[in-house]
Amino acid sequence: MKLQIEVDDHGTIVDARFKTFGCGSAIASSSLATEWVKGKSVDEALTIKNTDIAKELCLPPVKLHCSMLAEDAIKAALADYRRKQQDDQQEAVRASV
Amino acid sequence: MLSYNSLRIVRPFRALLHPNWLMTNRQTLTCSAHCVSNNFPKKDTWQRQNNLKPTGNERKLQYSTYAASSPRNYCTGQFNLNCWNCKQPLDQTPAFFCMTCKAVQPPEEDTSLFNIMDCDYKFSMDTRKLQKRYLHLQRSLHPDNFSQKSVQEQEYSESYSALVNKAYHTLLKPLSRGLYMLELKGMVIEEGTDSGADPEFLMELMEINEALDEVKTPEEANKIGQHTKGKLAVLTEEIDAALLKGELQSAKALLAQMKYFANIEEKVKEKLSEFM
Repeated sequence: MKLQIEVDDHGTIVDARFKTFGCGSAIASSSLATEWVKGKSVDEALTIKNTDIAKELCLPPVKLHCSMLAEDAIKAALADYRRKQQDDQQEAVRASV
Repeated sequence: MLSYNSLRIVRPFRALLHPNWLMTNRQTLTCSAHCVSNNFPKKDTWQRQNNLKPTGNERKLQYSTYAASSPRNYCTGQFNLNCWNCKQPLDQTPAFFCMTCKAVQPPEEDTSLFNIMDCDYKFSMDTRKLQKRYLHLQRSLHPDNFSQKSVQEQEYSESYSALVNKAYHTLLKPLSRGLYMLELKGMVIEEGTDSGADPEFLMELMEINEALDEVKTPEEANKIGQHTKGKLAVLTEEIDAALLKGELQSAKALLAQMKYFANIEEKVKEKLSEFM
């Protein structure tokens, strides 16, 4: 499952794309995740829970882990964004010195 | 040839700590039990003799001498030890047909698929021998051969034929064979969760999947197919080694990897058929 987010300067997610190889539930979970994060701020997106995804898609019990994967993907994307923000800030500090 | 009609358990009584005791007072515990069936009206006897004299001050063990003999009915779990039709004992296991009246038998519960296909219980498999055995069995067991026979026989041939099918397909592919061997040892790979998969491996899979998605020619798809086959061959060797050594956990992890690559192999096939 691959999830990409595009965040503007205000910290709002303006676009999201996914690429998933796997079962239908996994593809659906990641697709729904991209729909939900669009328009949300970075902090709001962090509140998305796998249980919400599973409920929305009516996932059967054996496929619940797919929604977990989607939640993990969102969190990983946001963590990566945070990391890059910090790197940029450090860059800026170094540049101004 | 294994006789089911009498079951004899001999257990040497293990004495405890005192060495003298070990030498002098070793007793055997013998019980013999006989299955009761229509043709064997023997009485069952169960005798136990226990003469143990404690030595010295070590332990005061109280044992009473006890010999009892009473008729007992003792049933084994397997009901179809005798032919359902002519009641003669079935000589072999698994018994497909009765030796005496030639009637088809129902499959016994919990017979190992390896037994049915007459294959050694190991991961490396001669698939040609397996296929020969499969065809040989189906030639005699297939329901088409029983269209003129009794309903009972038709039912039995149906269930046995289906079981042979299942056995063949399970043992044919290394992945299902390995998974079945783990299952026999009580280990099941749960559906879905593979939280133990290492991220690098997952990344590798993601890249293969992406590459496969973007192929434009059958040659490119074939290249990925070859690469995957190579990985599968390596994994097969590793799983064989792990199972021989009894390392079930590592076999399980390797089989999980094999599952991913088997999926990719399937996708390659689909991709190639799209090009046609």
